[in-house]
Amino acid sequence: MKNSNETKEMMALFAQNPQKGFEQIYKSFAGPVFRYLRNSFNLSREEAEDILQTTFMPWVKEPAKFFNVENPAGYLFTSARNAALKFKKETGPDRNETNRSNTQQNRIDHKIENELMIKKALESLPDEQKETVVLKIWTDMTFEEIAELQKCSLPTVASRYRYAIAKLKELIPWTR
Amino acid sequence: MDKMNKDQFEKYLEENAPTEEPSVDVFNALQKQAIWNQPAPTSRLSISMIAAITIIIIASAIAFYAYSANPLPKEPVSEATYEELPTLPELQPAEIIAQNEDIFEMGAYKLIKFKNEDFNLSFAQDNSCTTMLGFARELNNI
Repeated sequence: MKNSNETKEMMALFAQNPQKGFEQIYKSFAGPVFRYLRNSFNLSREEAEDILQTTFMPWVKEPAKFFNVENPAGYLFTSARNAALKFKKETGPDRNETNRSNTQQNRIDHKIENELMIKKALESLPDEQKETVVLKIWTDMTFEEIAELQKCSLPTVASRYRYAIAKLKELIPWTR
Repeated sequence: MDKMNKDQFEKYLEENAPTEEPSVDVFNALQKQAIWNQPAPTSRLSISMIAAITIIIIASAIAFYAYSANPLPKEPVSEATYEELPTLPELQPAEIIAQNEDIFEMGAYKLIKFKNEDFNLSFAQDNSCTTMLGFARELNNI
């Protein structure tokens, strides 16, 4: 993801030329948000893509509303999170099994094996711990940013992260 | 600071981060809906709507200016009517006296007799009772 200067430049471009600015914003954040949705909420590809589209839709329909957003990453992750939680609430918990089978792919190589192993281990964690690990490790968010996103205190986030890492260490037979 | 504290396992997780990307269809769908790719509102319905609104505005303006040039005549407003008070002839003191002359000419007896029916006439005739002295004399006689 972008640092603060790059983010400022990107938002300035978005305000000047929404079409070009949006292309940059999408290129920077669509992937991380998509992976966050897939791994934190056990969503299928299609479901994650739908929510991703919902998340970005206001940015292309009414771009002027977002010209003054200072932290687009925080904004997009929060929007995606809210949409995912709403989706999970509406669909219920029974949908997870079918989605897991969707994640199985035919490409077998070492990295993919590791990815699948980590994904499976992540799925066994409580939702908040899983989300914290995904945000901390794979989107480079700070504990402060995660606390703001999850609307909880900093010690809570830190504690969730510690417990999650300890549990993953037990579940994943990792080697350097 | 967070990055410095990462242990080997966290680095392992980082190295094995998922690499999945959303399909191009998502971006294409967003571009299709984007405001910058929407055609200008030149449909037949839009044009007719704009024409109708313009006609209404022009008609209103004409009506307004026509009214301003020849304002409607004001209806005469009838003045508020005051209820006439009864006018009484102003009586002079002499006239008042003349009107009541009969009463002044009557003596005390006649006044009591004709003007106050409930009055005890026998008492009025008794001079001894007209003053306190007379009343005292009566008491002495007892």
